Amino acid sequence: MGLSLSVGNITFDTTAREVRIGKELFKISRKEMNVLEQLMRRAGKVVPKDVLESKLYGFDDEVSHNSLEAHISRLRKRLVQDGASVAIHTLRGVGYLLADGKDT
Amino acid sequence: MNPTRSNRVTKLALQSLTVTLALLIVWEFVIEYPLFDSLGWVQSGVSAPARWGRVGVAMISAAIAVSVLAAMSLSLMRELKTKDELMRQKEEERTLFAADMAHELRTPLAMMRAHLDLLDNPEAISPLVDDVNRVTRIVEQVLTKSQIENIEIHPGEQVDLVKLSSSVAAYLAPLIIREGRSIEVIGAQNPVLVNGNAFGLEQALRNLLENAMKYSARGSTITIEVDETPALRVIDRGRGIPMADRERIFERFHRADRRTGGSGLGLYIVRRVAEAHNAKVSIEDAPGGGAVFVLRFLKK
Repeated sequence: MGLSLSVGNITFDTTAREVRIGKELFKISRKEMNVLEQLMRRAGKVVPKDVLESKLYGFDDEVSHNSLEAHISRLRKRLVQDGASVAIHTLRGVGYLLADGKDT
Repeated sequence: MNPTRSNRVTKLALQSLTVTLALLIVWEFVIEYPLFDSLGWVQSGVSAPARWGRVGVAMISAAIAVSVLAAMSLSLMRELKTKDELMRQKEEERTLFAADMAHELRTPLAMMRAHLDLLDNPEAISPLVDDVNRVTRIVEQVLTKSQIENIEIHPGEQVDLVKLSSSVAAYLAPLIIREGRSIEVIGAQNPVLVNGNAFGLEQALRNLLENAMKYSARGSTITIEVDETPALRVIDRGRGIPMADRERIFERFHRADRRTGGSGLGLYIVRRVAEAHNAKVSIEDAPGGGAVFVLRFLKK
């Protein structure tokens, strides 16, 4: 379903597959975009690791042990670099949570 | 005569009768006609039929004394049972009243929260939202307290401590993050099953986490550790709990810090749930500072 997601200063157009921080286009890989989409859809709530993995990888994809962590780590770094107001929290044994900076 | 006075008089009369009968038995058996003598094992000048007559009197007296004592014990037991029953009824009435009141308060509080959410200027209403949330939590605690007082554990009901920990952590994570802390679940990876009540255990863990959040420093992580023994540990990096307070903090309405604005029921709920599960709850020092609340279950 196409819609525009918005958290803090990030907007995500899920039809055009475009992410913007403020007015600037935020260029990231397809996998990172999918991670961000899932986190933005449940912003402020925990997304369990297995749910993220099942959304990101197909049945035949080989998922390496730290693959998701690597994507999250890269995405987190890019978000900071590009001045995003949101932060991705890693909660060991629980999942991931995207929160607007003013809430933390 | 009022019932209490009448009871006392009956009791006094029964006690006097028992003492008299006891004295009579002692007289019959020991002083005038020793038992051995009356049974004919010792020579005496008393004829056999007379001896047996005395034995008979002694036996009947003993039987009456035993019956009177039994009647007294029964009446005492009945009286105690009635008192217990009355106390239980009163406690139940209090619990029901609290539960009804809490239930009635939930709807207007939810309405208040909904109206606040509709207002503009989120910064101005933020303290009000916090207050409404705090009162809502206290009301929830009162309701939970009444629910866990009569908690039932069905023999077949199994709760996975790993799953329980992740789901309670996920539920509270937004609040924990907002309060500037973090949370993690470590330890066992495979299911750790205990025979228990899912609602009760969820409430116990939730209260332990809220307690940890209240007393830990900003920027720190709260840890839930599950082990196969089976046990749950909630570890915070706060100032710890002094040895002298470790028993007291589980009492109803006890609050270590009045400024934190809790209901004083959180740790009481934890203890009640633990008791219902035959589990032990204890407090230890966390390495490097802080408190560890341990919920230890019976081994299967």
